[in-house]
Amino acid sequence: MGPAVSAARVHDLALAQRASEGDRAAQRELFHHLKNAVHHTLFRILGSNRDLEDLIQDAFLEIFRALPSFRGDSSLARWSQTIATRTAYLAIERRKPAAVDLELVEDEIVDRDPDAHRVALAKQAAKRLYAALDRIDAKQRVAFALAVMDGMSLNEVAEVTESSLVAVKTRVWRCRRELMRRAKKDPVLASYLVDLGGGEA
Amino acid sequence: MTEKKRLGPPPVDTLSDVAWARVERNVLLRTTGTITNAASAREIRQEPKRSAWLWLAVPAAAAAAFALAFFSMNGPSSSPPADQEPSRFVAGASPSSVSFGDAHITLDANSAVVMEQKSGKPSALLEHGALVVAVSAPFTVLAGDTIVRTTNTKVRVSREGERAHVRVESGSVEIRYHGHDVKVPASHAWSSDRPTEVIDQNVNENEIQIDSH
Repeated sequence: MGPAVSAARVHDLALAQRASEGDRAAQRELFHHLKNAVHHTLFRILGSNRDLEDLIQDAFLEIFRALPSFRGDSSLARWSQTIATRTAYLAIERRKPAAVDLELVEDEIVDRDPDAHRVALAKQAAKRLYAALDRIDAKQRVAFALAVMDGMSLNEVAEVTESSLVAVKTRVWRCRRELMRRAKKDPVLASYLVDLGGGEA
Repeated sequence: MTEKKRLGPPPVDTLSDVAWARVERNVLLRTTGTITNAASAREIRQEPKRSAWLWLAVPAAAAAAFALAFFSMNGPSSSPPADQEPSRFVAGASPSSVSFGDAHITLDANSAVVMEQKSGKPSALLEHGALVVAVSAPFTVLAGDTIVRTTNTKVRVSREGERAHVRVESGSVEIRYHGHDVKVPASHAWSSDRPTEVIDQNVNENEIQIDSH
């Protein structure tokens, strides 16, 4: 651990302690320090901002509840991602897949700006991907979303999902296999999986 | 597929400032005092919605009936304060005024504020910019980590990120900043840059040019 990392951990530990002791300013600072990490993780796993306000709130209440157990083994941001991942997992387990006909919700892409056009295409393709992920085992989905959509290393995914590396590898592989099976009927999804690097056998 | 043409994952959609303000407020409200309270708040929140509402609805209905009977006997001046959902006001290129309860608020150009009333306590969350509030009843302005409590006051509050500046024109205000309380009387100013100091505007005009930073 380098000096900068070490100083950051000391800061994280002090902040966590002050917040857990009820210091309002520290609680607010902690909220602002972690809000992007929590939101980012939930969004990448769930694929949209639907219900995300409630889930961010759930994740933060859990973060505040668990603060006394924070030991500084990882950064506060990474630790909060673990809790956000658990929150997302519980949300997936609770909710049923939406019965949505993708053809009906397709956005019309009219923007002539190549970047905007690319983003719009990515959003459409991601919609199809998340619709497919809705029908896949929650643990596999979480592992795949973090590894492939968010670009985390398998070790990092293992850390935030509190799983072994072997389990994570297996989940990502199984999810990818299932997605490719579904993509046989959906060329847009198939192409997007290849594009993401999630379609390799 | 070339690198340039790759779609990649779509960008993470942002949440609006007002959504974040709502989340922050709810989280901090449920984390009152110590962390153990947060845990119990969460447990309450995770009850199935319908049964939780049922449990809340019965005593709430009883309380409402009692309050209605009580206040109808005591005339309209004792009417209970109603809660108001958060409302966001944004001033564009020119200043804008709005009334909220008995508070009259003037927003500077390019400023945004979220106002709400809970348990009869009105408050304004200044997202960015500046406002002048003239109010006779207790009123709270939140600007980052700064909490300004006002009564019978005319005060200007401005915010840049987490920095806040307060200038009291009449009356007085109480400011809480990082756990410390400061009372600022009329014709005085305060800044989060020097949170322990209260600056007399009559004495040193240069010191109070804080809004122009």
